[in-house]
Amino acid sequence: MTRPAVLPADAASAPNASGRGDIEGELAAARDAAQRAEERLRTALAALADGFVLYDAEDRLVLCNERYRELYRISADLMVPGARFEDIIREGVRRGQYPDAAGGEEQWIAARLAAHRSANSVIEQRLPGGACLRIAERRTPAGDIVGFRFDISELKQAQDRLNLTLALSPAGFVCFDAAGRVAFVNPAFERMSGEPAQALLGLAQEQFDQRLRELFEPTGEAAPGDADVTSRLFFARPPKLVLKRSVRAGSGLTVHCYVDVTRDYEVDRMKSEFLSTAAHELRTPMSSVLGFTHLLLTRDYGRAKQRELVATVNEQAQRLSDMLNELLDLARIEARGGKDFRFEVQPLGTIVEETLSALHVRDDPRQVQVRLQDRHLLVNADRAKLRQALTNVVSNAYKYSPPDAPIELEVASEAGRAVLRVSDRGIGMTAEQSGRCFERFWRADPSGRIPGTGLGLSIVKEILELHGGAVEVASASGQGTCVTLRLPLVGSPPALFAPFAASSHTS
Amino acid sequence: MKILIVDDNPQLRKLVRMTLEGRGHVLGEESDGVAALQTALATRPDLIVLDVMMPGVDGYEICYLVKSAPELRATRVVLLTARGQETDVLTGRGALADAYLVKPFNPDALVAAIERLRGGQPGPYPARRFARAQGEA
Repeated sequence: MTRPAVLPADAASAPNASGRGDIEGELAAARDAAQRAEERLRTALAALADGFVLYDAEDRLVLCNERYRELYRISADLMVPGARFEDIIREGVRRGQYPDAAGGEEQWIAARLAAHRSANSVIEQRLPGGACLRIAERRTPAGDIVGFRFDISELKQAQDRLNLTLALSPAGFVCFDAAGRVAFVNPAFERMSGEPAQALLGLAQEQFDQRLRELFEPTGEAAPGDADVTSRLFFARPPKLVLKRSVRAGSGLTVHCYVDVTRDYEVDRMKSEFLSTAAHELRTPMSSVLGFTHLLLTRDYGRAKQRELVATVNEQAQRLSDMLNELLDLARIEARGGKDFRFEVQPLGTIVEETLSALHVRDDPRQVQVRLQDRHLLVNADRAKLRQALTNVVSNAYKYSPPDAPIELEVASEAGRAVLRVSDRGIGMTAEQSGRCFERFWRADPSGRIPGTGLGLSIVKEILELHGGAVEVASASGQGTCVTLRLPLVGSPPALFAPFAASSHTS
Repeated sequence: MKILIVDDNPQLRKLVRMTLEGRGHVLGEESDGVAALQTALATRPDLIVLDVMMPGVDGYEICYLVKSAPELRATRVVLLTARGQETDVLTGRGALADAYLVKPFNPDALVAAIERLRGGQPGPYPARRFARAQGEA
């Protein structure tokens, strides 16, 4: 078999034996032409930025360019004309030229040989040091194998960067290829959907949307599959999920980005619910104020009746004012998150005494019976805020118990925490009511006979939680209520200094 | 007219009572929905002034039950509520209320509404709002 394009390097120096001058001349010219052609080819191959190699039909190396040797630096010395492909890669594997082969050498060699001999594949191959090649091999009509090596390290790195980024992203990504089928699903989307990527890959866009519908039982405004660029998807399946889907399409690809907005959505919903409840609660006393003043202005009543109506208006206006103050307190506490609390280590007993002596309940001569287990319990607290919390709890006890029933306040330490326990023997609450008593505006007495805003316990809860504490309610209908406030206890002096004592012993 | 006032808030019951006093009406009061329904069935009032937001059974339900009871066919219902959104007006319509007033209400408007109902005319539904809500639906 002849080699049309590439001649052996020694062809030019073939013996010059013939005597016929013209033939000799032609032959010499032909040789020159061939030599020039080969020179040109070698120059071209040398200038090629990619690796080039030619094997003959017996799989022996015919030639390769310098770039090819550079790429396979570890086994470059093996790349000599006449070397067998299999020998080159076997020795290369032994020397560590092919990191992918490590651990499964024979398998790797068999696969590489098969790809090489079929000579119609494009494969990727890693090299030591993170470089990566794309190999394209083709068989020529003469039976040779032409091979190209393209350095795709940068492309590969960019791809790895993208994959790592997508793997770490909290947003879910689904990519569709030019044929509109799922080509990529990142781990965040697997977590959101509970579906492994394998189950989604290859699905057509419609099938994918159908799968979403099956998975999540969409509820609410936008169903998956809507064409808008950004849509909100509501999913009923537990755990309840609201996803925001953004769709971008470009150069034949479509990418879906899913962001979990469940929390934002819940917060928004709670905010508007709170606003409408607040508006309703403010409107009820406002109705009294406006209604009664209207009656006073438009109708003639006797002095006694007038006094009575003005008293009602005054009471309702007071209620409005209390509500606004408590709403503002609550909003301030929530917005600042305790940043404006002035924490100081101080004895809990003092705070309790101050609170009780400042408490005035109209027309109620009862005294709170205090049981102070330890006067020196120390807490790290904002005095004014903790007093406000305790005042709310104690005044609830006054309001919701009959005027002859005792109110008790116990101050103790339990399991390393300071405990304030306020118990009354009042109307109490059912289990269902106890469960709702921290809801804003919720009242145990909806009749309006007992004054209150329904915000007191919400404030108590916020204050305690910002102190690292907690509040619990235990109640039985008709028997009374017991509210327990728990606060972290600051170690008493001996406990505080104990570690120092211990370390001085060891040193 | 025999009028039953139903509201869980005692101040508002008092306000409605004083608004309607001195006009020859016979006034009764109830503070929750179920008791109101029992009283209505027993006393057959000509008109009920009914608060919507009440614990337990709400005003819409009571309104519907009143309007669908054969023995209360002649009883008119005025819904009184702190809500004023279109959907609530629609719910009031669905509950077959004769009139709908939004708190804070003007006492004179309540008197006027009752006078109109007594004359056999339709009550003061917020017509514009109602039309808009219907158009959107």
